[in-house]
Amino acid sequence: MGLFSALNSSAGALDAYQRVLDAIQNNVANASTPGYARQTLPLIALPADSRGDLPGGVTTGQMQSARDQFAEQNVRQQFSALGTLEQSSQSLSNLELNFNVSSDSGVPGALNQLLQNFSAWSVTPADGSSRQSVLDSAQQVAQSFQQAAANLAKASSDTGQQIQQTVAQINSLASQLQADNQQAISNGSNPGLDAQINSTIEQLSEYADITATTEPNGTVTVLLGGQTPLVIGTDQYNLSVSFTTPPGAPATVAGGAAPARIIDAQGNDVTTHVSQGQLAGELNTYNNVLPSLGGNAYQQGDLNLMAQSVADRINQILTSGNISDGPPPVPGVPLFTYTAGSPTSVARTLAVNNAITPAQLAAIAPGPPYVSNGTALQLAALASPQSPADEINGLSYAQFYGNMAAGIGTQSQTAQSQLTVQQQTLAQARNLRSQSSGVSLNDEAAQLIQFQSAYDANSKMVTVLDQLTLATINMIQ
Amino acid sequence: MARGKHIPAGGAGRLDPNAAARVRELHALVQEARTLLTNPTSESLDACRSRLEEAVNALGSLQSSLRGGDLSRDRALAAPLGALRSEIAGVQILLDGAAAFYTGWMRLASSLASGYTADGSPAPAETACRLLVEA
Repeated sequence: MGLFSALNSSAGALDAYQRVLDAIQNNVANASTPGYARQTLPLIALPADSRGDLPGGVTTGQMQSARDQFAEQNVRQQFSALGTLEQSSQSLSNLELNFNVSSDSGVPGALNQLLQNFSAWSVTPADGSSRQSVLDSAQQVAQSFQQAAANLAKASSDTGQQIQQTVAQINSLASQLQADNQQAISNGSNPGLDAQINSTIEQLSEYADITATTEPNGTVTVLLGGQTPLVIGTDQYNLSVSFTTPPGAPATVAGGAAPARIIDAQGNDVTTHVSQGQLAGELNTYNNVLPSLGGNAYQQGDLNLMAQSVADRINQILTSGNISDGPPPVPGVPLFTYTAGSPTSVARTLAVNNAITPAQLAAIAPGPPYVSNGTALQLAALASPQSPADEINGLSYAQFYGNMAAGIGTQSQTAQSQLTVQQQTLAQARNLRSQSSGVSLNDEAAQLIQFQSAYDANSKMVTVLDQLTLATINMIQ
Repeated sequence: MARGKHIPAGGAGRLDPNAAARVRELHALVQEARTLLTNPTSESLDACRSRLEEAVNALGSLQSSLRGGDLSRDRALAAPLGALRSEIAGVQILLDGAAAFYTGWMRLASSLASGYTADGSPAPAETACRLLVEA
């Protein structure tokens, strides 16, 4: 090898090492940059032949990202799951506050008071103050149903707005990615841009389940639920929200609100593609959780069902009785009114008949057998129903409300405990990402074997521990 | 390896008045294991196993002490034991999460490195082995 060749080779090597040092420096400087992935620069030996013109030495290969796309996707999935649980947990804990299972306040408190006043009235059916107390507590029952319905309506309206905001946020982040793709095409990919793109995708995954694929030209393709395109190259596809019933599923309950649907850029309903993330949580709250209580275009809702059952049964008993014997006998009048023909508005419009006076409460059951306080007794007996007519789905009014409130409480508690585990699962995914970044396949295979044996040992312990705990619980019960 | 908290064994044949406190200590042990699993390295998995082992032993001795006592008076233990079960379920979720990650990544890495077998599953990755014979 001639002197010139030797010098050339050394200069090439120095240049290669300088570029490796630059890459390392870049890694160190960006260690805390969100979304940044460690860059590695492989050194490649050049062919050497002392007899020919091949001077040997070393050069750098193509800059390659150490980012493990698999680990990235795992983090995104856990982020999406966390988004769903955070949203559900928050909505359910707000609902839990409005549906107190204690009988001291709200609907159960007011209903309990009304039933007690029916009982007091049955003892002294002619007493004016007992009759007035019945009307006052009926007023409280109507107001508490109205309040619960108003709370549900507000929760529904707030969630609807949140859905719109989340979709706007998704479109805004997709727009940022489109601009990044444009930059990648114009100026080529670089570590800074790569970090920016990954950080944006991570933010996006908190809102919905996102699949991102990096193309050979450095651009990123982003799909919602693995199917609906959000960004492809320099094209962005906006999502929108529709609050209308889908064409194939017309409303079955008159007056009920339509569900929220996510519509893609082509006008297709892609709601089912949103199965994770904050948006999925909001859609579940808006389309399932809240309607199960307050109703929508497809169901009456438990609160309305209860309000209607209570009002109808009390009215039926009162109108079957007489205010006075006459002659002619004066029949009873209904105590409650509500907007007929709109099953989802019963709780919201429930009111005490404004034409009724204390004297018009019908205490007499004309029979046979004739009982002077028969209807009052029948109304008092609603507290401990003896016939299916006094129940809702086989439950007393108090039990029905208790079940409704307990259901919300259980869901809220479950969401809260899942949220705690999910926060740790996300932390685990992030740690796995940093562990796996830049690890060779050989190392990874060895790590897997180590992990497998550690996993088996741990899993056995967990099973034994769980069985022991269950056995201990069984022992004390 | 650092040991977790020591939980004294309860005397069999009599009611342990500190049963609830012991369940709480057990809970703390399992909680430590769960925290360790958020960073599932070989070391943390070993440490996690030792915590779980300790919890199994402690729960075994707690059971023995309960067996000899008036169990009806220990119904108050149901709530902390229920919380312990949730904690154990959390450990299982994290353990399975890490296993799913390694398995998934290896399937993907294997398919990238060695392609697919005839039935379409990823071919097992072969670790590099070199034998140098010098004459």
